[in-house]
Amino acid sequence: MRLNLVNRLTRYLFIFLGLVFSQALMGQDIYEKYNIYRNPVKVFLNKFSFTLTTGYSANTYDHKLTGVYFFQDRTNQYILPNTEVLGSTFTGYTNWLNRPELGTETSLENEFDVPFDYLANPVNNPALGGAEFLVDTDTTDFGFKGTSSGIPILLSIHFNIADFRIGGGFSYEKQFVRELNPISYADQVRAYQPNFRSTRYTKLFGVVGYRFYQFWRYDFVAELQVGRINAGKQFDSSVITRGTYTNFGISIENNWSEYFRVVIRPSFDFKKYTIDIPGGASVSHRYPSFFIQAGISINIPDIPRSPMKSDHVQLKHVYTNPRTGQMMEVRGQPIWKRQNPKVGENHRRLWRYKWRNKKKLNPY
Amino acid sequence: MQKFCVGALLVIVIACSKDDVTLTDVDTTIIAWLDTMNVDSATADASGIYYYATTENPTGIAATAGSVVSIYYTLRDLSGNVIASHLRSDGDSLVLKQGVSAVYPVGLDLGLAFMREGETFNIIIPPALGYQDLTSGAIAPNMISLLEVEIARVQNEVSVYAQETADITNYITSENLNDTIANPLNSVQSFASGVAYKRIVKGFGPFAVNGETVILSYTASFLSNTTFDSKNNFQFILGSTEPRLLIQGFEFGLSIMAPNERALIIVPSSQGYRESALIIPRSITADLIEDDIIPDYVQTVPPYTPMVFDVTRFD
Repeated sequence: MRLNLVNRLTRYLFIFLGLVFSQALMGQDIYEKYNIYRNPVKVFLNKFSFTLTTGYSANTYDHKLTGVYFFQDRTNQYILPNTEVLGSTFTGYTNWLNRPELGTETSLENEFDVPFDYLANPVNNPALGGAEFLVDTDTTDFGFKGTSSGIPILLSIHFNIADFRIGGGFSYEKQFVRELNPISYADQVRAYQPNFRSTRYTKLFGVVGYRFYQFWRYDFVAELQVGRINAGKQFDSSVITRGTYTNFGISIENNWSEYFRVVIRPSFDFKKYTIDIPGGASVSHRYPSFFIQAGISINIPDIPRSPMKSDHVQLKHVYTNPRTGQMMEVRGQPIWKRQNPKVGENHRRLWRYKWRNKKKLNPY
Repeated sequence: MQKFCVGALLVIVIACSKDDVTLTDVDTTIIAWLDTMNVDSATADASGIYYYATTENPTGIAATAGSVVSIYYTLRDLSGNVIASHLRSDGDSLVLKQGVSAVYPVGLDLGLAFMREGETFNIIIPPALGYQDLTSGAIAPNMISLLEVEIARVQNEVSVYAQETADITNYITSENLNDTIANPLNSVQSFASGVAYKRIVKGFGPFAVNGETVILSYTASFLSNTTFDSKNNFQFILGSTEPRLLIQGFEFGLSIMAPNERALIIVPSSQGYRESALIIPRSITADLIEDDIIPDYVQTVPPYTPMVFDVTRFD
């Protein structure tokens, strides 16, 4: 079974490399015909796009508690599998978002009834509010939900085949976690306070995409990422089961040149994890995210800039090395500018036509 | 910007004037009622209550804050409908501690501060200092209350506690608790705090110390032998404030109780629920507990009431 899988992967690898090399070798004819040199490594690398983006993420932590008792007193919130019989005390687990820990033993008795101590100035005493709350979560719809923010950084590489692309990447996200509000009994139950302020997530993913629309210099590419996600040490990975995550986004790419693009990428993550609570219960957490990221995408140029300082040719052109007589193709533009500009293209806009000056009839 | 400022000013003016209208509505209603009743001696207190005397006693003891006041009352709405009452014909007066937020409605506590022993006042209480939006029995939401109150007695707390000590002594005598033949095991131990301890079944083992979990069963009653509470396998940590301490007298009694011992712990109110709280009318007590306005023990333990706990410690 495993051998079949290896064979299949090997076959796919060869098909992929064949596609890559065939792409790299396409159009070599003219270079061979006139013996124009191009660095084959750069030609090969030129077929890959490297993308680096960063931005903002909004992450919603959402869980429903089932199969547990939820108990709240003045200072703590606990859950306990409801397979256990409740006595007059309650010792439950805290931090069921990330790292379940056994809490302190707490009395379930009514703390303002006999035989507990009297209360000075009893009428309208503020201490009376927010006392104990106990619910079997199988008898009601109960859980917590809250939105956190984060800063993601994504680095990916993909290979373009016509309008399709395939690749992979790595993502790092610093996430700042906020409190989670109860989805019911909001007048009696306090918000869940995570025991950490921030955490990190790393992702390793594969990506496929399809350019479904073009508008002038803009490409619109639907992308699908599938991969593994790992959380920071704030999460106890020994009791957490995380599946693969899926991200769907639209990459809007402004092609400054064939080598350089500015990318804006809104996307959604769909992901969840399950955390085991000692005693047999578990809590399933969904934590979908919305990302808005911006960055750049480049292809490493297959040809260098002209080495001659006096060479002011604007287009791609052939240059002959005066010492070796070897012809090589060179660029006349930096990578972020259109490589074969028509007349007037690539001329920089003067300062006098920018910002507040652009509306003036006579800037100077 | 100018439009925004004008708009904001208008909103503020409307908001302010709305509050004024609400306040004036209540005051206007009360003042109109006083006119109708031909009362021109009423005083409007800054708190919002109105009061006037129907029986004066300038030489009586003033009901100052902290004093223990015994009262009779009749609660009406401004239409004259009697909602509740406790009169001399109903038995002993009701006891409360004045000026320590141990009385509901709050307006009564405020009104008593102007009275003396032997006086009868009519106190008119606006909803905010009365029953607010409570709906219970004949009490309508935002009702203006007319409370006719007679102070039968004003005491200090020390004399009330002294009376309790005498009551406990009488109880011990009447129940023959010092008779070790009729009521074994030991005679009653009395402590300076007022707590009395009668061992019924001797236990063995060390006394519980602070931080130790204690399991017990108890039945609680008043000196009249009326049972008001009981619990089996009640478990708590001695001396722990989680969730809260037990009443002092009960916790003290348990600290001198051996495992598997049974005893009566007689707790004076000074070691128990002291002034508790007086709720007028008593029928709304459960509603107030549900609304977190008063603690639950007010439902069962009246002000200045000694308690007897028949306790068995298990662990």
